[in-house]
Amino acid sequence: MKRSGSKTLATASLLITAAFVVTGCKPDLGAPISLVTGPRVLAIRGTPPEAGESASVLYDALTVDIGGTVPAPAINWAQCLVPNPPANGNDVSSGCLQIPDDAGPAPTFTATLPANDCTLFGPETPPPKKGQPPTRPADADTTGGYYQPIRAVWTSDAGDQLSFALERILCPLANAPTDDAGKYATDYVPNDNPQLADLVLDPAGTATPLFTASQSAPPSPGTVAAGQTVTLQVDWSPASAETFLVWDVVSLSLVMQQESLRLSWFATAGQFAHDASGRGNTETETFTQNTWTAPETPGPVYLWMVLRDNRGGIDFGAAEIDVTQ
Amino acid sequence: MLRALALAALTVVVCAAPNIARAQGESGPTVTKAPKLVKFVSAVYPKDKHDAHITGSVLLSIEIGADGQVGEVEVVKGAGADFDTAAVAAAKQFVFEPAEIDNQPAPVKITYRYDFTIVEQIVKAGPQINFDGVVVERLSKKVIPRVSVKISDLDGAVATTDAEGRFAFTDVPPGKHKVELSHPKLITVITDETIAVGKRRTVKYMVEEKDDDDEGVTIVIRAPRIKKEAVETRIRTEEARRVPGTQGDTLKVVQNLPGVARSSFGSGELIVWGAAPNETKVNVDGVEIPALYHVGGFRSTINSDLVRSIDLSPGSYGAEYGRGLGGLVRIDLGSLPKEGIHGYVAADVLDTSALVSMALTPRLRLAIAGRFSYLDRELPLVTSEDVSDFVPIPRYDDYQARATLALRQDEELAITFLASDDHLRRAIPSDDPNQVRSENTDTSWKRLFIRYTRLLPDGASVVVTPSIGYDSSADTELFGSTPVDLKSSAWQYGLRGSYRRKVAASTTLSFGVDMQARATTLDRVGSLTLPPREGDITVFGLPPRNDIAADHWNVTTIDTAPYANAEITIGRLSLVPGLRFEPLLIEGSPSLPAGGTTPPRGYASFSLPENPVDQLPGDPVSRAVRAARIFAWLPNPRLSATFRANKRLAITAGGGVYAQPPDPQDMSPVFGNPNVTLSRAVHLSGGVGYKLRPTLSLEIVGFYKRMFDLVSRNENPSPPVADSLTQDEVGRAYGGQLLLRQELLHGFFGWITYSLTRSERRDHPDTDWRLFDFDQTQALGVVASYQLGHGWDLGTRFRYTTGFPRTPVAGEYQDVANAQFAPIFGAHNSIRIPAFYQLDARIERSFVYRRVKINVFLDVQNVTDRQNPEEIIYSADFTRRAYITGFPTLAVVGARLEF
Repeated sequence: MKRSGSKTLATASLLITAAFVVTGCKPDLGAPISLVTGPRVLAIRGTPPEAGESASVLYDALTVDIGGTVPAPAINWAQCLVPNPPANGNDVSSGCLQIPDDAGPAPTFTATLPANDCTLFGPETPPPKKGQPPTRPADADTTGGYYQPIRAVWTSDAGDQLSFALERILCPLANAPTDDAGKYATDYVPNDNPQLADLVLDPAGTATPLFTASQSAPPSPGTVAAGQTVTLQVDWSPASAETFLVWDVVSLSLVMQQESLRLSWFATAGQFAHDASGRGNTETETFTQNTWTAPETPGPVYLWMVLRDNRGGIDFGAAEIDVTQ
Repeated sequence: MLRALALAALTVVVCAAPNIARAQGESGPTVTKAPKLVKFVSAVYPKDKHDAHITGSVLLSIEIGADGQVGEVEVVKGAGADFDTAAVAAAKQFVFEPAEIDNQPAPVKITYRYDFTIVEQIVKAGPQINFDGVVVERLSKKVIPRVSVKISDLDGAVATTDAEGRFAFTDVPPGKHKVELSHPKLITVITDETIAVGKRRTVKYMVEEKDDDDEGVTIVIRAPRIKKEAVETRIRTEEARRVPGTQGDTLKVVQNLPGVARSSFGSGELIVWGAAPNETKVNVDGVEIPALYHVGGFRSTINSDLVRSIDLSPGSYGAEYGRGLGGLVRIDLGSLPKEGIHGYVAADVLDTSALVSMALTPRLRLAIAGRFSYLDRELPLVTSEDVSDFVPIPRYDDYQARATLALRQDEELAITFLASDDHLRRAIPSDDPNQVRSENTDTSWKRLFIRYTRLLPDGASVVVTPSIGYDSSADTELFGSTPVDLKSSAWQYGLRGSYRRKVAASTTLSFGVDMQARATTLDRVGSLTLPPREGDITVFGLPPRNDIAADHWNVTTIDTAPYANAEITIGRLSLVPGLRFEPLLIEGSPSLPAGGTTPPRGYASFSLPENPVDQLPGDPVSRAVRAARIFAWLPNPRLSATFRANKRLAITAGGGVYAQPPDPQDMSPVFGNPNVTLSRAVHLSGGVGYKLRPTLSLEIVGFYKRMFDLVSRNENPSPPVADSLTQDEVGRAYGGQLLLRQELLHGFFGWITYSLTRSERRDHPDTDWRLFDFDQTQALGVVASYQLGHGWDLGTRFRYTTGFPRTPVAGEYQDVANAQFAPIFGAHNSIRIPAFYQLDARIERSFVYRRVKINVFLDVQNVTDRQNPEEIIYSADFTRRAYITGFPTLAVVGARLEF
């Protein structure tokens, strides 16, 4: 009897589910972001990635095209000084789209952060005018950071490529008890850029290096058969995932946090399993893996890796793979 | 009054037996006497056909023996199985005087037409009766038996209505008399009648039942809502249940009514006359509940079998209700069965529900009901995983308990408990820390209320409803490392009391108080821009900004609103003026963001309702109403009027001033503004109702609404502290709606609705008007249902709606800090999601097995498999635009067992 009842139930369940005719609702959104099909700015690196008001910062960019890295791009640079309204959904004010150039065209840009950067984009507010309430300070991100937008327009063969980078501003802790503010001022360690170590093809097998940071000359291109799926592994230096003090807006206390690291993968052909991979802020591993399926057409394929920590630090590298028949 | 009579007609008496034919052909035996029907037996009229006023004729072949007894009976030309069966059964009991051939009794065969007709029974007046009439229920028009009709001034002369609702008095002295109608189920009515010399006075009393009837759900649309009927349409329970797409849930039919826009896929929100969903309030027995539908709109939160009526007022409603700028949904719970144990169990692919009700004693009745869903567990079995990325399926349950106690005659106490829960779970793991997504949403609410009703001997009524409720919601989302966390819990206390009395033959007054207090505690962590607000410029799936803030705050609002209504009838004109005074006390904490060395400080404010009539603009649309500024000194005036030009044509008009307390969610000093207060609106509407035929009606209504002091985001790049929201947004909505409706006739019912509306907002005085996010220019709905017979019903529904406005992406830039592209937006809400159109079908079979009524149905949504765009989505670099589409075809199979 029990078996019969179960069978009846299973049949009924099957009929019920069979009553659905659902094919799926996800639209085709075209090529993934990891596929480079034309000129693009993949990264803008500030050195240092975190600086105080009036400090000088050097910016360089990773500019690419289907033919590989573009070594000396003609970029017009500008610092945007327009605060982002709280109602704006983007991280950068739409007012930054209209600002004049500060420098360029040049592949790099050296800028001095404004003396009032922590007031423009940070937790400090100007003294209120008489009879007026004080203004609302900007909110920090989850790492306690505030950011100065850097605008870059690369005039490429395919037209202007508009990009924005964010330079982390070293600001004091505002609206916190004096003890916490003091501890933060003394113990907070400004961010350094993470450092890529190497890129290895088939790490569990041949372990062919495709990129090594310690060598000035790039290794020979790796070889992958057309249509073959291979594993790629990127390692970074152990010091890349720094720890730092952060003001927790929920508990209203200072806590230590470790950086998370995120590696964005790019290629001129083929397909990655993931556009980006990485490690969260509780993981200690110093590598990440991805799989890449080579295109069916033989020829050179250019790869790029952009490593970001969640405080705005950046490193990047390039490699090449020969896809064979 | 109609009474069904089955009239049989012996239309053809032809000797058609084979032997007779042969005899005629051979010029031999001849028919010397035709058979004569001496015993006629009426056929049992099939009840569903009778109720539907369906007639028919069955042509029979009857064998009559030499003894006059009926032998074989065959159907020559049928009228449907139920008619045929009934006619044959009756004919077999006929008795004839036998036919004679050559003067000798002989067997013959005849053809006989049995007609099933319905005729009006005419009750002839006896010469001694000079005052009689019928008593019918005002809404259902059903006759009411056992009503006591007393002529008070004639020593209490009493007559009682019979089974057909009729009563009669004989030899009533000429003159004016007071007549009192009373019945345990009725609101006692006292009226005057004048009997003239030598004339007979025949009346038709339309009375209103108290809540303890059991007639089932009626859906009433009133636009504007005017008591004394006027332009109103009723949809009966059985009609509502048969509408495709409702899956038998009566309350879901509201989504198909004129003036109601189709909500976003998966939201279940009510968008009425261009108002935001949270501006339309839902009341159950006068107690406000947060939502009529579960998340996703798959099902209503109240069990339909507990509901007596649902009344949707898209706007311009009376003074009894407030706290909302949009429409009003009013649900009245019904009475419970008087005896025995009754209930049902229903299951379909969405959920299972059950209800049991019983009469514990003759005065105490009890019902409990519950429902739980499982669609979220079924769907992954038949869909690809990524479907849930876009269309998360909620899990819901609701449960109700209700007890009614008859205290004395015309006095009742009803205790009701309502509860509803919704849960949404979605987790999208990723190797990319920034692409990890999770969403956990829990919403629940509970209401406990006691409703005391008393009908006083003078015809007045008193209703008192104290209530308590608890709402909670938690929305926890994670976008990479950016959390979004919003938790809210609120206690709600309410007290509603009303007194209604007829003070003159043409005037009824009602007074009341509607008090509500809500103590809300909220916690929020995340970006200011998530969750998004109406008017935000964004695209689907855009990650939140990286910045986060946190706040914990409390808001208590106390809103005590006394109100008064008058119902005045002057000839063909009915007027219902009303006043509502709605002061608001707000107490909250903190007034400024917490943190640092700043101690938290609370605040309190008291707002008197200001009448915004004098702020109406001078544009042509509203010029006609500028005269209404004379009412500017009144707090919240309401007025509705109906002019009955003739039996077919009614003209209605209505309007009023409405206010809505602020949403506590907007009153955070970090995310919002603790100083926001009442928003206000002015409604104006007018319409025409015309009965083309007794069951075919046309209703056209136009409306204009203006909204003031709406809350919107502060677009200042550096807004003042505790001022992230401002209250200077205004809105306007205008349009019209049409309803052409065929009530149940010959097994068919259906309606066509069409709404043409435009709803706009201006966020700040210095910004341009823009389309409202929920603006839906056109909404067309066609509903039709037909009873095929033998318990089969077939229904279909077609819907066409304009898509909601969206802001286009005009460009993009590379956000290299976050390894993504960011959109550059075009003009605000300047494009629309493509139009939606869908055809649904429903087939149902009903039958009775012993004492159990069984309904089995198949409800197929989107039978044409149209890929309806529900939302715009962009590629990662914003260069390609595509659409998220709704369910292609969804077949819902269900069954309901009722006992």
